[in-house]
Amino acid sequence: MLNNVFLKSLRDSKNVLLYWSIGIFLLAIYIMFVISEIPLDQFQSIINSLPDSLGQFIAGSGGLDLSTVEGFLNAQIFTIMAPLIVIGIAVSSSSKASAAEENIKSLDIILSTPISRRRFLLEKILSMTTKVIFICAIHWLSYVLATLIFGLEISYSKLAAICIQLGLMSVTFGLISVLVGTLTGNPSKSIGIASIIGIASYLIANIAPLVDSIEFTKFFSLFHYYKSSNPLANGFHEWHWSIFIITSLILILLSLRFFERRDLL
Amino acid sequence: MNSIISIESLTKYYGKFLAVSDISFSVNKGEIFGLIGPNGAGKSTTMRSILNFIKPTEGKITIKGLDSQKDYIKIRNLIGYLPGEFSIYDNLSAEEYISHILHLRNKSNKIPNLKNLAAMFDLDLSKKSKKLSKGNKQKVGIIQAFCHDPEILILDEPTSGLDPLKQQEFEDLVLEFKNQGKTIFISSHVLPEVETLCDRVAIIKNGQIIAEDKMADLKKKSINRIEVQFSKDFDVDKLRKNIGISKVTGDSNKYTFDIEGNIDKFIKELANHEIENLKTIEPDLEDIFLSYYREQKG
Repeated sequence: MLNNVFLKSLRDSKNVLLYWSIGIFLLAIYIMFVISEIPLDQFQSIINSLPDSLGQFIAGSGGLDLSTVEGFLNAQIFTIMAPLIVIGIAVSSSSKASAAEENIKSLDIILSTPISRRRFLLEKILSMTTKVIFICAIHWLSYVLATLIFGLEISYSKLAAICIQLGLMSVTFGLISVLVGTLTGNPSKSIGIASIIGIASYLIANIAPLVDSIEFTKFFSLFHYYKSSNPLANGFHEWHWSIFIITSLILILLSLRFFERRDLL
Repeated sequence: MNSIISIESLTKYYGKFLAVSDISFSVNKGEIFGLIGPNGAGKSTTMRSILNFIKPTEGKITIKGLDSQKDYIKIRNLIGYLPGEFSIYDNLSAEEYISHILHLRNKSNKIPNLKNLAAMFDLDLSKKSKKLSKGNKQKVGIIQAFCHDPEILILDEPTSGLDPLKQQEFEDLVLEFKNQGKTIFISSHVLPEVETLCDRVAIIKNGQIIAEDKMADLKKKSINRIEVQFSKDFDVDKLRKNIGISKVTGDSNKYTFDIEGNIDKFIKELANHEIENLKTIEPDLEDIFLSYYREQKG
């Protein structure tokens, strides 16, 4: 797996991906065990007594619904936990795209070989995207297996829908990290700035719908396009995915432009 | 002479800081060329510009007629490079690392050179990089630069961290490459290394080339160091007043004089005194270097 930059980058993360995969599967088993043991209807009656705004703040604009397996997963896993894991993997991998290599001075030798900066960065981005796809696929597979084990029902296509939207959002955050890395050559800034934007995006998506005067700001949040349509209940949104694709393409083009023009000191 | 590396009017600003100012020189085929100067003089900026890591503010660099910015992929096929700060991935062994680099160069890692070079430098290729000492990591850097048999070698401070024995091995390797008609461009502040290896050198100071010449000629043009033993006590201050002497060491009746330029006046002055012994000492590169620096300051 040392034939090119893409495979080398995947090789570097194989242990991390393995451990995360085991963790995600165990979490899925645990959550599904809890769901199979508790009476969801009674649980929801308690939730219904809470103000709607509190539910929106906790679980996003779709509100807090714990009456179904989908609703429970939505609230417990796909609102914070899964985005935290997948965005974390995307941003961590992206910070290693150019910034970390530049920082530890390993980039010099790589770029003294007949590899262009463009190809190097694209292979790194492809590697980050592959890791995100893998972890999202592990999420899907883990919850499918867990529902089968505990005899619960869930729509596999709708589960796939939220996993795909999660992957698209995570890749976009990863590309923000790549862009910062190509601009600064600093891995800490690359992780830090992408993380701050991620947290801000999460808060905006959850808070903006609560206040009419700032509701429009939700359109600037990537989390809004990830989950406001409630893909676990309603399936793949018809156009929200395009926001991620367009943003990602812009981020890739900007990253390539900056990386190709910048002095590598 | 057939110029392989040609640098024409290279200027580089980092913001308002002028790192390299209008420097020009060329490196010929089959030659070992040294760029010497203290840290921060502009050596690495010059080398990194050749590899298109740094974009020149002005000027042009060509390698075998290929433009360093437009044809950099073709150029990198010709080059073996060792950066001033060499770093390898901690999670790979030396062999895996070199194999990775060879794959990126579209070369097989079954190159016989690899094992020979590892044996020459007494390097255990199977050891994980994080367990290698600084000197052993530098050996990995040298091996990855040489093992694909490049036409041109660009080596930035190549012997940093190597023990004296391995420095000798390195010098033998460089000379072997030169004998094969290959071109080697070395930057260094380790002056004896440049002195031993280089056919020609350029001295860089504050981003400007202050001298460029054949190693032998550079030595001639610089200071003359003469050790004189007088028959009786000698008034060195009187001699200093009469002629230009950059440095005098010694006491009583035995002195070493560093004389810049023509020594005719000095010899004529000595003729007025009774001398027991006189010998000339070949200046080392450090003396040449300092001599040029003094000249520039003056």
